Amino acid sequence: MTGFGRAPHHVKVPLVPVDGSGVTGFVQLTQLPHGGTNINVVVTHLTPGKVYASFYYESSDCSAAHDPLGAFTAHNSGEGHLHAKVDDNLNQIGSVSVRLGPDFGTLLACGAVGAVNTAPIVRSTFPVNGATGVAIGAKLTATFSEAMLPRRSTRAASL
Amino acid sequence: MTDTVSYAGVTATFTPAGNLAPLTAYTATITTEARDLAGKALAKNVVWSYSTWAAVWCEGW
Repeated sequence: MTGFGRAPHHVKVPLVPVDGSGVTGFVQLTQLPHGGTNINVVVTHLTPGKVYASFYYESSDCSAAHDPLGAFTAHNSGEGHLHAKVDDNLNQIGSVSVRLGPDFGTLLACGAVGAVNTAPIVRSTFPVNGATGVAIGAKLTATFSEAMLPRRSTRAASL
Repeated sequence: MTDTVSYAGVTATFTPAGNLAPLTAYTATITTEARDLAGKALAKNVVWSYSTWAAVWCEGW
């Protein structure tokens, strides 16, 4: 069993539609104190009455080998819910998917859980460090390794 | 006018309230208050420096 280290105990990630499926929602994962993870999958924009299933992966993009979380049927509202407990710890789960039944071969949405186990980084900036001759009206940009929470204040980016 | 920060995808854009001073050195900082969608912060502040060019081009030389 992998040590928990500084890994988070609770995370929530969005389900991102795959190939224009339109299926969205979110996944909540909670590390259990004595090992294992509780996983809640909330899915929207499904076809009412159809059967779907969720799986989890070591990879962060819902690829390669996977283990089942369970199947569920979409409600009349187009929503589907699934709750499962797995033996793997939170820091061992890379992603969670939603697939279409009955064979569950079609990937509809993927939630990248693995990204939450690594801190975001700044990949590039404009101007670059050490730049000279920058226009006085220039805007500054920073490109991160992942999407960031929008901020209303400027406390996180200042001159 | 106030400084603003906008987001598009993985890129954040900081727009100063007004023009910067010409021929001046600046330091920009993104602090660990910046967080991803899961609430995870940068591991450390990211700091970079740059300097501005003259404000006015002299034409007709």
